Amino acid sequence: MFAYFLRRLLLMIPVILGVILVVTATLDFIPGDPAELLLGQFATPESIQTLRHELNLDQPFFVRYLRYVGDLFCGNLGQSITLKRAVSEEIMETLPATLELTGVSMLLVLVVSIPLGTIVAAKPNSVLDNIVRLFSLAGLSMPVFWTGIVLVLFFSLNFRLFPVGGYGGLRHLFLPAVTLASASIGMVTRMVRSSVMEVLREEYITSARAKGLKEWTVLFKHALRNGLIPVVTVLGSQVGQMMGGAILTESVFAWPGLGRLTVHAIFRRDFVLIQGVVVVLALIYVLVNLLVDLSYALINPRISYQ
Amino acid sequence: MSRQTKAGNRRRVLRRFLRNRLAIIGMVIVAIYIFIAIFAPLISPMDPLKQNLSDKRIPPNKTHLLGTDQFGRDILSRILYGTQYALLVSSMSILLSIVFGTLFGLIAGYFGGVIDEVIMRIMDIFLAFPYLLLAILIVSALGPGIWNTILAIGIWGVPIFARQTRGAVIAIRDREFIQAARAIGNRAIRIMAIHLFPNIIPPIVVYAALYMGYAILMESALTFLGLGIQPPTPSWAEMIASGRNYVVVAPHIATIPGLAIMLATLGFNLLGDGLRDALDPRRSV
Repeated sequence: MFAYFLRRLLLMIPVILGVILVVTATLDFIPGDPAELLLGQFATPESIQTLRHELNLDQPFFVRYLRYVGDLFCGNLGQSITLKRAVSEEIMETLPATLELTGVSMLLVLVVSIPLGTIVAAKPNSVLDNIVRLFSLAGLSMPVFWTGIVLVLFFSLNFRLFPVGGYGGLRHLFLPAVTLASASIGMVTRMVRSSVMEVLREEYITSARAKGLKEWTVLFKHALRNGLIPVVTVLGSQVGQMMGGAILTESVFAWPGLGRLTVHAIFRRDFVLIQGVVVVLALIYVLVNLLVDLSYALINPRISYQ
Repeated sequence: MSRQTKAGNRRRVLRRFLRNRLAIIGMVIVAIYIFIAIFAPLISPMDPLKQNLSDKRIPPNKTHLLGTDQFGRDILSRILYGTQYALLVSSMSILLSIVFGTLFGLIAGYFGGVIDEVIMRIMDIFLAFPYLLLAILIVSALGPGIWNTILAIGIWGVPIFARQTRGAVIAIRDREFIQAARAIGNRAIRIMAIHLFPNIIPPIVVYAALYMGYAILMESALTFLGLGIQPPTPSWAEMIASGRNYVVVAPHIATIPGLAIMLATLGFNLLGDGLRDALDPRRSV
């Protein structure tokens, strides 16, 4: 087991280096002179020269890449052009709000999807199953930002139950969290359902039933536990989905997180800031997936790892 | 497999598909959208770009079935024309993903070894980016617009199709008919094109349908962020983004186009699910 952990950890390194390579390479995608474009039309030749030097554009690509990697591991992501601050500082300030939002949304997904998926798995094609299936499909077909706008329209503007946006206590968190969770709830519920249904066909379920156990016990104690194993993998990919979704959700609800920072960076074409946000979120995502794989190995004793 | 059983198999798949009510609904929805995209200029009641500031922000009524937006443009006409752009972007980007994804997947799966390892590790790097973020990075660098959006969504899909193809190729790589083809001296490229490729079409078709839905959502997300399709081109997400400012006085401007996105994505999801169930009934979700 330890050897497996170590191997996974080592395999992560080329992926991380590759991610950084892609992020640094995108600077070369910018048509024309990146420094000129990023500073806008009123830039002086001196400031362009300074930025070229700061972005290492006067260096060969490989040197620029290695410097970016080195800086990143020292916690330096460069200087934001529009905010005139270190990108890393901006990210550290906004990251907690985003983690709060995605964390609560993930909790919501777990609390809704696991029981719901298990219950409908016991009675496939029942009325409840069809309703849940329809809502799940609708949930993952809706654009997140639109879901947010519709929820604001109903719950904030019509019924005045929740604030339109902004950061604060639970009341401020509720609508953004529901918005962000909606797509994942659909996805995870479908996954739990099919996975538990698969397990219910196993012989040990038949023997548990034959032994006279209550259906409820069979379902939630015997079937759910094994049924959750494949779901763990989906949860990992949902974290990535939610990071993208958070950018849209935050923009709708004026949530002061990484998403709003990204939207600012996009509108002002602050490319260094965009690079920083993408690198940080990608690194978090790689780590989450590592944890998912490790927990997968821990909860599934049937698989042996060399 | 003889020709006869192959035909019988095909009929069985078709029968399974036609018996699935949700799959049929999905197919009908997709067909309607394709019809609208082709005939938008003929069925649109008005010019989608024509502004009429004296008729702005009117709720749905007899002349404007879905109302007008903040510039007095007819929302129904804009949604109908928007279908063209939504389907153009999603189908072109999925095509890009399929071409390069299957190519990489075929090469990795067929040759195996170091080639497989290198290709799939590169794919892993692209999969390491959370949803939407790689696309944001690419379009921010290249600049906003339809073609850069297509490129960004297309790149996002490449590793997904490559993985799928590789898995399907490995499953049949060591079967007798491939060995026989190799034994009589066929070149690798011929074996891939004639013997392997036809066998991986079914899973690719399923994924293409499912990922069309994702591509539509991704294009809307990029457009909503100001990176995708640019105004005044009629696009569903742009209608939502600009209508958002009038959500108190004229909620129909931002809400109605969202239904168009949702229904399109739903249609492709139902179609993809149905195709998967029909081709591989044991793996249904």
